Amino acid sequence: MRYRGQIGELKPWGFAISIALCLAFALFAYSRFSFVMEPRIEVKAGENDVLKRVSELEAQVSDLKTQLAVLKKEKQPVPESKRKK
Amino acid sequence: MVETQQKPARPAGDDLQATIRKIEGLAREQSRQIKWFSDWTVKFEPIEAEADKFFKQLIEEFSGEPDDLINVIKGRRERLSLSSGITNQIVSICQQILAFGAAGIALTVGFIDKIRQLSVAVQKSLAIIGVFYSELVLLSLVVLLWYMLQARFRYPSLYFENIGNAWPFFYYATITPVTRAPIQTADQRFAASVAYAKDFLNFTEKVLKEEPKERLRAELQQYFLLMSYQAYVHQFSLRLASIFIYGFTGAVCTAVIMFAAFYGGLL
Repeated sequence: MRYRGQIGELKPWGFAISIALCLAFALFAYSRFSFVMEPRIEVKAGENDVLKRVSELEAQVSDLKTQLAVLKKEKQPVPESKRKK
Repeated sequence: MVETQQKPARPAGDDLQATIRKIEGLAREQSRQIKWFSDWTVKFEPIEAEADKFFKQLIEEFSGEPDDLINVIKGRRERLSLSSGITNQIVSICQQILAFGAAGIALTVGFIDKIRQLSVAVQKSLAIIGVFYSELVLLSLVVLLWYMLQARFRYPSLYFENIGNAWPFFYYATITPVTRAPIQTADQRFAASVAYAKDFLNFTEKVLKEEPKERLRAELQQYFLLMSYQAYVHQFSLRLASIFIYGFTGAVCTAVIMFAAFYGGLL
């Protein structure tokens, strides 16, 4: 038996197997990448909630401050000497 | 017209065919006894003996001028191409892919948190490019592993005592086996020196007493060995190139399909 005919030529099934393996790997790896991808939208949604809550709390704080100022004006603290013992 | 007295011609190739049939019969008989991890080299000793016997017979029967034939063989042997340029190129490309891949991993780790600041389309494109490069890195590892296995391959000629490597051209048939350990005891070094002295004397005597027909045998044996070696070198090179081409094409096609799917809204 001797070398003859098509020696070492590339075969279509070689390409087919290679593409199939690469594609399988690519789809698997791409699906794994999703944990870093598109997080911006989720984070932004979360950030919006937090910002909304912060502004609500700030509004409440300023409201309380105003009420405190009014109360302070209405009723001055009683001097120490006038306090009943 | 001078008529030369010639030996009655033997039917061409008859003895050769008979010997080859004998060798094939022996091979069938011996191959049944081969087991995994057994010393299979013992099994072809009768085959080598048969081949060697016929080889010796051919040399003995040679009636021409040995030196003329030796010159022809030398000339042909020198023109044998014993290396392949493709292998080195492919190995070099794979090394570069691995080097860039290592640098890429370091950069990716450093900037992975920044990727969230990019738009989703850019993130997806980068993921596809990353997958493509990962495939190239895996391909490079496979090719380099294959290359190392090829480099470690033991050629059939190494297993033969008489018809393998010819004694003037390769140490296997000339030198007492040496140790691979770079650190040796005094006894080991002493024994190696004694072996060197004995080998040197044997070698010198062989060279000085070499008959023209023995020289012819050695040249012929080495010529064929190199041709066999050439076959392995070229076939190994073809295989390495095929693996690389298949893998590279697969990775490129996959990247194209992934980008097409991305722009088509499937990813």
